[in-house]
Amino acid sequence: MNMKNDRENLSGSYALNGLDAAETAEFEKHLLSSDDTRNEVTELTDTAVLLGLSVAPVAPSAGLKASIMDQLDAHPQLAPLEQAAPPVVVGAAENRARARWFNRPALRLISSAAAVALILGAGVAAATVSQVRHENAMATISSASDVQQASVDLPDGAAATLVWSGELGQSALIVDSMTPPPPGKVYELWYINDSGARPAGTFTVDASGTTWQVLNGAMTAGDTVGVTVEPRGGSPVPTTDPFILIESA
Amino acid sequence: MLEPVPTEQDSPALRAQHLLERVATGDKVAFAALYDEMAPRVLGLVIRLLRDHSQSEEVTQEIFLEVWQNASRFDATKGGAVTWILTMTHRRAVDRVRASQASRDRDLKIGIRDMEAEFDHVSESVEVRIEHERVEKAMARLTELQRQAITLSYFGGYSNSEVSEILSVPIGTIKTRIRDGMIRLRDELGVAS
Repeated sequence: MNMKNDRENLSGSYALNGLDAAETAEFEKHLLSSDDTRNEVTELTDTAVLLGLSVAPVAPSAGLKASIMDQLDAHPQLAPLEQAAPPVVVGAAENRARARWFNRPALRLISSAAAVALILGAGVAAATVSQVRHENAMATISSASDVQQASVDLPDGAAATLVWSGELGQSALIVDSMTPPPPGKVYELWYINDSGARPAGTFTVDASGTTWQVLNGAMTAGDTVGVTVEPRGGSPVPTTDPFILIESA
Repeated sequence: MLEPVPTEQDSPALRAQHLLERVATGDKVAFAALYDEMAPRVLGLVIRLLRDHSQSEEVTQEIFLEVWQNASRFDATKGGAVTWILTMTHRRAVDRVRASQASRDRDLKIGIRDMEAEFDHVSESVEVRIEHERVEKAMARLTELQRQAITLSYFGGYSNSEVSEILSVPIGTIKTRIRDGMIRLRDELGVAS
């Protein structure tokens, strides 16, 4: 039996919560990349719910409701997803249901023309060696044969575009009209997938609000790139919610 | 302005959905009504897995607090409110089964016959009885191994490896039978997305 079949075979067990933690994580990673399996899992989960509805209800003891109601104030509700636009459709949108951490800002696609203009104009400020190296990396990505890009608009009018090459395993983020981070803070980039968020470098923007940054480390297909606000120097794990999320799929 | 609490004429599924949408806005009245609607279902399923009543009430409490906190993430276009809540319920019940020492000591030799006999315990409620009979008929279409594996897995909260041990069948076969069986149930019960 090959790996593929073996993974697909797990859909029933997944719907019944019969997998152990490691298998579950592995299977959820697979789910992100397979529409068929995801559909099957949805159907089998709905089927499992029918099993649950066939169980005889049991009346809770009288005090349970009061006890729960008393605790509501101590359990703040998660912020609703922003209503302004249909939720993020960069990449496979429904994957987001499973990735709660990603499930924050309402982002949407914008025209990519602005991003292209930025890439072309990006060399202007280059001065130091590291900047040149950085620019070369940028040029390599943007000239890769499989280069792709996805953009999001932020509610405050800023825009961000991710450019990536799966073959190179590299990506860069271009931002436009972005407010500089608060004093003592930087923006930090993350590669996010089911196993968590990997730091991918920090950046700031000046008053122009426009910059670009090649991400550190290797990108894996399907990674989501996120940006958070972190103390200067960056954090090993995100300490705030990402305000930009772009899926590279 | 408070919206009226949905009326009895609405279907339970629709009622739960309307209530959950209001809970997402911080509406405690709606939350209380949703609790009344769903708590016996939730507790019934948790008890089915955990058996211990007071532990099951603890888990039920955790589940409802999770419903409260996550209500804004509920998306009616991806499935119903009852599905959302019962899926969460089963996951939490299984988490507790696997985590608690009592469950580790569960006798893996529990008779599959006992599990199936328990499944036959039918509720007084007409609605549940109809649902139960549908499921029972669909389960009767499965092979014995499919039925046993699914029963142990869903109603017993046993992991694949435990099911494999209980039934003395290789784990790969268990996975396949559970999937085949669930697909069969899906088709018998007319579930399609």
